[in-house]
Amino acid sequence: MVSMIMLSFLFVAANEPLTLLIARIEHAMIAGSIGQLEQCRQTLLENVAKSSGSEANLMRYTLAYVDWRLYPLLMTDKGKRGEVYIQEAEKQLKELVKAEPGNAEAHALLSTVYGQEIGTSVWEGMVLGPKSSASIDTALKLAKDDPRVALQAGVGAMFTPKMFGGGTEKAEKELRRAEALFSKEPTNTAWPNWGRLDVLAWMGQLLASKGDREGARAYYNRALALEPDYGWVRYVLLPALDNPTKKK
Amino acid sequence: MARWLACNFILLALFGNVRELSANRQSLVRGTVRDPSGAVVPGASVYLRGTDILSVSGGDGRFELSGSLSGDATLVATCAGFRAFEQRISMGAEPITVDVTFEIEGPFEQVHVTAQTSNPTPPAQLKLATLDVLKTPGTEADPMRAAQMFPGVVKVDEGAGLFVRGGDVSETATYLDHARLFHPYRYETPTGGFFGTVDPYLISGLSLATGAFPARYGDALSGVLELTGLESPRKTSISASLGLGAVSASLALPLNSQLGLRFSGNQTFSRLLYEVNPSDQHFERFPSGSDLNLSFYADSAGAGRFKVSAFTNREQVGVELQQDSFTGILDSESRNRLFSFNWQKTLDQWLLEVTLSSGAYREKSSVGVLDLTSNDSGERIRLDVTRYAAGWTVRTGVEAERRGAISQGTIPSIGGDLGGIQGTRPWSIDQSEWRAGGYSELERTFGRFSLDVGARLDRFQALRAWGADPRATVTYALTGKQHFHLGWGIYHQVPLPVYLNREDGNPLLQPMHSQHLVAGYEYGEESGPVFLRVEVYTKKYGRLPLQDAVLNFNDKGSGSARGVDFFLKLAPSGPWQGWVSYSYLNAMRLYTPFDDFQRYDIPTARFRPDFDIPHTLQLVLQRTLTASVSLGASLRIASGKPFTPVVGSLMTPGGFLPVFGPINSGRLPLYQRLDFSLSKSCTVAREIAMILYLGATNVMDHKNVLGYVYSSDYSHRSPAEGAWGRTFYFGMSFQR
Repeated sequence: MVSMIMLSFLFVAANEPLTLLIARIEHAMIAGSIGQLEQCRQTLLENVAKSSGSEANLMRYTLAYVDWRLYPLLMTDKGKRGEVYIQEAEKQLKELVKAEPGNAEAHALLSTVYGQEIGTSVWEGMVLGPKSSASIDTALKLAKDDPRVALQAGVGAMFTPKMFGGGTEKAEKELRRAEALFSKEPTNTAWPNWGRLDVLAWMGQLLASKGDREGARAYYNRALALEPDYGWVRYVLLPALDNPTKKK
Repeated sequence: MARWLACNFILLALFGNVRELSANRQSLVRGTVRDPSGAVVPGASVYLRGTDILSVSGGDGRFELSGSLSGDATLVATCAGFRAFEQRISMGAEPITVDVTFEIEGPFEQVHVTAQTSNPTPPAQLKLATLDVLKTPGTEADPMRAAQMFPGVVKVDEGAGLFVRGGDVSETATYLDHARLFHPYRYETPTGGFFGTVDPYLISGLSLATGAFPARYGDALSGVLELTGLESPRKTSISASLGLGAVSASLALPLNSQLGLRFSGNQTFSRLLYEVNPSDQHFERFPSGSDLNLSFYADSAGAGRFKVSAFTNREQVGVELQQDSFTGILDSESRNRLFSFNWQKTLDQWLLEVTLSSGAYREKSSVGVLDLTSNDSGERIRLDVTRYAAGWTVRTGVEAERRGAISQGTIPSIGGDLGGIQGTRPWSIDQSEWRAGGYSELERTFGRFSLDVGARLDRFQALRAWGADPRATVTYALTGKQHFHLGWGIYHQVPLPVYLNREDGNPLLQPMHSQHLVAGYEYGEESGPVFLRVEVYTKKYGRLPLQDAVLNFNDKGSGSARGVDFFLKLAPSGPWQGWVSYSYLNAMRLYTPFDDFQRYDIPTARFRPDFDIPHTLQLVLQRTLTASVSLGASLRIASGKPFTPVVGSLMTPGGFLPVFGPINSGRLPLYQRLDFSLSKSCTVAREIAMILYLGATNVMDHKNVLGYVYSSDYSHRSPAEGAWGRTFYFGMSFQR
């Protein structure tokens, strides 16, 4: 974990394009641009192939991150490219945690990727659910106070039955903890530094699910204050507050 | 996680393609990013909205944007810890300079989860997800049996019938995606049936309203069960199950970005199950059946969401039946079909939903002198409109349905006299009932109070009668976790078609009605670690069919039900989860079930109906042993149901006739049942999941008495025990 952050600092200092690449990834994620994300993905695949050691591991993480962001955007593709990407994310992260067993960010993202693969399937929940839980538990043991670990623990809990360690209350606890941790994290933290917008969007959804529409609106507005082009919040979550039956 | 998927799915649909500005010449924007103190900010993202032109400020805070653009654009700059910066710019021939100065993020309004705006579970309504249906021991993975686990639902036999808070099984309406199921049970009996018609793998969950339900539900006196069908598949999957009593397979197939298909088939064959678990039950034909289900989905941003489903099932059984002194084989074959069409469309703040459904049920059954062929059918159309705006939720809708019943054959002259000692008579009905109705509901939260008021109006065409049903629920939030609620409503329902038959019934009967009053206290949420609900209720029933010496039936019957339901669910962090429920019920009725026509003297005072089960205690525990192995147990202890004792007999040329004591003046012994389930999930290949399950029902082999049978002269009686002693079943399921 520490080595990854150190590397990121060094890499950013030595190689400007990575900073720009991360910015492009985040910009594409916010805009929901599949094309831009796939362009970034191609660059990352090349970087993984030509790098080694810690540098390659950072690229693997970033590639998995992009694949994970791409997967839901490609749901209209009915599983073809999206399936390939999410499986690639799982593969890259498994290799990463094998190479860096202490990398909490990787364990947490692997947990989220498993969760993404579960979708709504009871079946896959039974098989991948325990793997997802084990990964996030490992991440929490390694870096309990990492805001992205807390964020992913919270989101995972929202979709995990209580008897398997999830539930709304746990989700809220972890998301609020993530929110507090993000407020303490230096704004110039090196990559991976994503999640500030996600935590606001998910806190809003959690409050909305509890019937607190105004609380949810406040969170969504906070997200838009940080990133006015955050389409998921602007065009999906906020309108859904006034029409809860609208598909999110 | 599903929501994460769905959110981004729609995100793509909304703005998956970044728009392009017209590109005709080179342009350049440059500037410096600073914080409020004037210090430069490195690492800020700066971009032109709607384009892929993006830059990151360097160590000196400077940035440059270049591209081939013309016209107006918006420059946006973002950085963690700061509010986003936006500025309209005009792209000209010359490079322009934009200096960005961020404002610090916040302060923001404190966000609280407040009691006033929390959304408590509606009174007298509880929900189950499909996973709960599958994992709860004792449910045999059947949605109806799972719903029987809820407080307020009593069991009168080993069947799956839902008798809700002093109401008959026919007084609970069942819906699948708003399409009404007129025959929601398999292997139908007067107390419902042995299983639900709908397979658990066809639904995503269910909810059962046991009282004071809102105005959108019509033609139901006591309860409403809503089954929610699966949504359009997002990925291809195939599953197969093999168990001691059934094999099944299903396919989920997304066709393209907007179309999807689900198909499933199921074949039941209970012979093996009975051979592994021998019982005293004698079968001429072991229960068996098959069903097929096909659903087609279309989702278009412009046209809305469509779902078309077709379901058909067949089943047959030949089983020994005992009633009074009669012993014979009940032979039955039935076929049930349902077709439904559902359309949903969102228009600004409005949600429109249209449901059309058509069902047909055919049954041929014979036992003793009873020999009937029945054809039931029903069509229904429904429009619901919902609007959420400015804190108000408005729902309104209209519906119309036809329900037809055609039946022919021979029946005993006296209800229940299956041996035909007092003769037989021909039976023929051809009955149709039209009903049309409309409703409106308003929902709003005022401080600590939440109010849901509504009313519905129904026209029962064949009965030439109207039903006007006002209903209201108010909830008071005492604290963030505690709520009080009070619900009240009037309900109407048309009597079963057999009561309206000209020959043996009375077509002039009026709609039955009931009045519910429910008060409750609630702590926590159903999904939280602790959820407690205590409800007291009182119900009055009127215009129930009552045997009449002249008219066959009149509508002077009445009834009442009072009770308390207690429900405590604990789901702490850790491997244990469970709930306990206790229900007290005091039900009285003056009415005549159709199958009891002329069986007893016409009652003149209220008596305890079959479903008056005063005490029901239910305990369910589940524990995850390892990440992939879970164990469950359920215990049900309930008072025995009332029965009408035989106090003597009369000898006639055809045989002995029973002389009954007062209706339901006796009570059967305590009912007890303990069930276990064990399941393990694993992966047998990279993409194939397998679940192994083992269940044991009535593990204590308690001899539950469900009635009494008599010798031919009624001089001796012996208990009729449930068909299920200790029973084991196991199976496995695969999915890829």
